[in-house]
Amino acid sequence: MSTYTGGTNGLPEGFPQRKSGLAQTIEGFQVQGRVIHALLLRELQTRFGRGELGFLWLFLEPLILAIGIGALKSFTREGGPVPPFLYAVVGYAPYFAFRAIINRASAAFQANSSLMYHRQVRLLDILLARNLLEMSAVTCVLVVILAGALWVIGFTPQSVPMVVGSMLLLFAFANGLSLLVAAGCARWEMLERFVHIYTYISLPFSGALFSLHSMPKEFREALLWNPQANLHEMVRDGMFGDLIPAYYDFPYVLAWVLGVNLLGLAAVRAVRSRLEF
Amino acid sequence: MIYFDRVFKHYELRGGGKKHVLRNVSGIIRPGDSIGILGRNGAGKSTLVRMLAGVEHPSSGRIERRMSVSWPLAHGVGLQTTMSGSDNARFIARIYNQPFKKVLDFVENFAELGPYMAMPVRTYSVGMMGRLLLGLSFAVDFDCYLIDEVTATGDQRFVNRAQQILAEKTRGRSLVLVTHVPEHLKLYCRSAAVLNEGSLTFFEDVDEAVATYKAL
Repeated sequence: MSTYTGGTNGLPEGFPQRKSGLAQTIEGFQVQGRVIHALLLRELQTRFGRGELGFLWLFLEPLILAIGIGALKSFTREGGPVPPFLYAVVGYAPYFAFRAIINRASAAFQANSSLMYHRQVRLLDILLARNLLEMSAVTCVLVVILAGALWVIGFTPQSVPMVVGSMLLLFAFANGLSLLVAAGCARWEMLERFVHIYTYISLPFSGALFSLHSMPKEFREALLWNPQANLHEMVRDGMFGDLIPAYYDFPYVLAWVLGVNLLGLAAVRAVRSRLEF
Repeated sequence: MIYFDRVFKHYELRGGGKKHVLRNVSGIIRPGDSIGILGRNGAGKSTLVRMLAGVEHPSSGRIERRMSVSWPLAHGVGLQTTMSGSDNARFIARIYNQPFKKVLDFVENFAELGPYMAMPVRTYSVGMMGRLLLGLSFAVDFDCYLIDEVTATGDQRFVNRAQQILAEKTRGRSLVLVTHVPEHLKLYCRSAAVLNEGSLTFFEDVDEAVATYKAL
């Protein structure tokens, strides 16, 4: 080792150049793919163990929860003309995934700082892997329940593409928020406490529990400012179509989803150089 | 090659103020270099190693890497302590794009953990964890190894084996070693540097560096 300054391009002479442009980008995506794959399998294993039922628990747990709540709601006869069980599940199941994604994001850096000693493992990868897992779990739950609904009462969703599309948007929205939360909590530890409180008090305003149609007009207008309420309406619209009038503003939702994801990406990038190990 | 130029690093202290860890540190690590880094506790040796590895970023200045550099091999880092030794090997193999079988075989042979490979890493002793860490990193075969104290925790047999592998590995490869044991420094390194009060001073002669460090 020796001290050295000067040379071309700020680098010493004869210093190897980095791969340029496209080649570097492609290599970057390959590395990211490998890392996310490894993180996904690790997450599955650390959360659900290696036991026989291990991987099954991933969606058994939310499935049991969804069935429980759905059954409870069946007694209260909410939802008007649609099966109350389905009405409840379609609201709750995505909401739980949404909340889990946001809540778990707050400790993402702290819980994984040891793995980030491998420089290719980035905060973004950790979050994407987790979010993908939550997303696939709740998707499995919904598929199981809808298959059951088809079998028992012959119910089919009004528009499957609409359900899939709006669920994807809902997850994309949660993903963007999780990036912001993870970056914020890595920077200011205090924030973590507020995130948990927020996810609890935001439940009534999420639009997950009741359709906007069942609310007074002023309430509905106010809730429509919340992109999450719009998204839950979209899911219900895909499920029940004309059975319950749905209220949502698609361009408004899309703008939010893109906005939080871009801001989230910028935030995890900005916070990277300030992380302390 | 690792090139670092005018690197500064400070941390913000709780309750205001800044702790300056590195001030204007520059240097080059070339293939085949083996450098020992000496410094008192809290001098910033581990911070420097983390920055060379690209884990932590400098407050200002630049660091460029043009060879494969290991993660900082310090106690317990880079491992998932709730997972078993072999599951950690699987994870390392995946993220460094290595065949799992190769990594596992190498680690089993090098670390000699026997049935402990199936136990969670949190049940390991400090020495066992060090063996696992070095075994994993040797299995990946980096151009440059950044070792932060883990060689010091092993028993004699492990120290000998690590020496042997590092001697093979570092031929044409690079090593940056942080240690408090001057004998290890003389064994592994051909040059040394002393980190004190934020500045890094290089010595061609290891004995001279050790003498300077002892006089601090």
